[in-house]
Amino acid sequence: MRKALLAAVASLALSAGAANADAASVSGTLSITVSPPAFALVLNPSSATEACAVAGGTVVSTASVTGGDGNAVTFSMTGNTTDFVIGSATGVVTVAPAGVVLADCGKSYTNTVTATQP
Amino acid sequence: VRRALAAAALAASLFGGAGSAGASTASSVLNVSVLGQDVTDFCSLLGVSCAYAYSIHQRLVVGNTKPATLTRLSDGATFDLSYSGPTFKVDPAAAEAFCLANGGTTTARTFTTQYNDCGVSAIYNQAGPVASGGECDALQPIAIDMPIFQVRLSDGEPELDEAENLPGGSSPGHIAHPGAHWLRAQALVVPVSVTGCIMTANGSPRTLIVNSSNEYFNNFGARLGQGEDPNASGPAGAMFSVIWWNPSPGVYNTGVDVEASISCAAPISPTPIADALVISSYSGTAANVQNTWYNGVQVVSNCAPTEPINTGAAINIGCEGDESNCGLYTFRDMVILKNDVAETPGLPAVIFNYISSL
Repeated sequence: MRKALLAAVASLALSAGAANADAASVSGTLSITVSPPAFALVLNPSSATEACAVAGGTVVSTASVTGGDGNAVTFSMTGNTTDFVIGSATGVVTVAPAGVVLADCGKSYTNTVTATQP
Repeated sequence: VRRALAAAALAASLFGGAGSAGASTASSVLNVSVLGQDVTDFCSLLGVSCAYAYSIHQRLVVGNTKPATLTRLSDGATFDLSYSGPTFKVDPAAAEAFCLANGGTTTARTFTTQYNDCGVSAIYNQAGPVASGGECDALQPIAIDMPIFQVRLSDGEPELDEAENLPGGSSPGHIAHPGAHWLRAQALVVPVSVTGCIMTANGSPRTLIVNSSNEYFNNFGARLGQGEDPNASGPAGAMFSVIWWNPSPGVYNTGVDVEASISCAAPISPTPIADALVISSYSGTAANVQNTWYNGVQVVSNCAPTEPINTGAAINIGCEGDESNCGLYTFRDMVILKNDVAETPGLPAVIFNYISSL
């Protein structure tokens, strides 16, 4: 079967050359890959300070993404997830509904926010 | 041909998968700092609702600017205490200058320096309205009945001493002798006749928190919250008390004092108490029960008083409600909460830790 296909291609090339003896043409393959822009996450702000008695639901930061392929993004967070929560669809980081646990006051936390795009 | 096309399709699929089939992820770090406890806003910090908040030495409610007023006994001049510094403690220096400016003197005591020419004529309800009437302030207009201003030696912060008009005793006496009868009128009085100033009871403000000490061997019985009315006619009712002296067997108790019955009180010490933080709540998870914590330890659990807590006529700061066995004590803070802390697991411990850090 492979031989048959090659024969057909050769035949077409030969016949094209025969139709115009002055012109010659050759063909090559150009492969172009269009990649999505780099997928990145931005936190605004990336640093925040909250009062010990901050109300539950107070917005601490908002995560947003750039790039990617346009598919829906899911947000998650690690670190102090007792006092702070993230909306998996919105990327909004807020104080937990019950507020900050008293024992957690006077401390600093490093949370990692991750965006995932399927 | 079909196989070739299928192979080509598979190859294309694999190449495409390399570019997008694996989920894309991106991460970033969020740094969050949580400030320490605001030591000047007790009522909002704990998420509790304060009906009353009195202090002679610190701010308990954010925005408050005047905790108390002193009256100079020698000439009737008055002086408003104020806060200073980031922790909003009362700075006694200006008060001391005022108290000594008209020939005032001091008396060195075990725990405090007492300013003999300064009575405390008002302790303001920091949880009350700021600029209108009915703040439920604790007042004593009669100079000789005013508790005495003093400064604690251990930390240099103001405290309040008992009323100096000791029937049968010296004036200013401050001599510890159990059995002396102090008049309940000799205190700072919050009249419940003022609209909105209601007593501690079921359905009303239900938790009493007092930070204090009894300096020698007398009691800090108190009609703080709800006392006996009439007093000592027992067993007509119960006194919602803090620390009170039980002459037999001679021990301090905390809890609810019922005449002829102390079933809802716990013995805490036979000796003077340098620091006492009592949290006592009335009517908790079951009707008409009482819980008390003393210095962070629960000493009374779901006890039903044998007599109901009486309807009192006033909240007193500075003397007890029983008009017996009253004596030396010092007062720093008193807060009455609208809710029963026994209904919130762990809250009494949080309150204890908080106030102990002040």
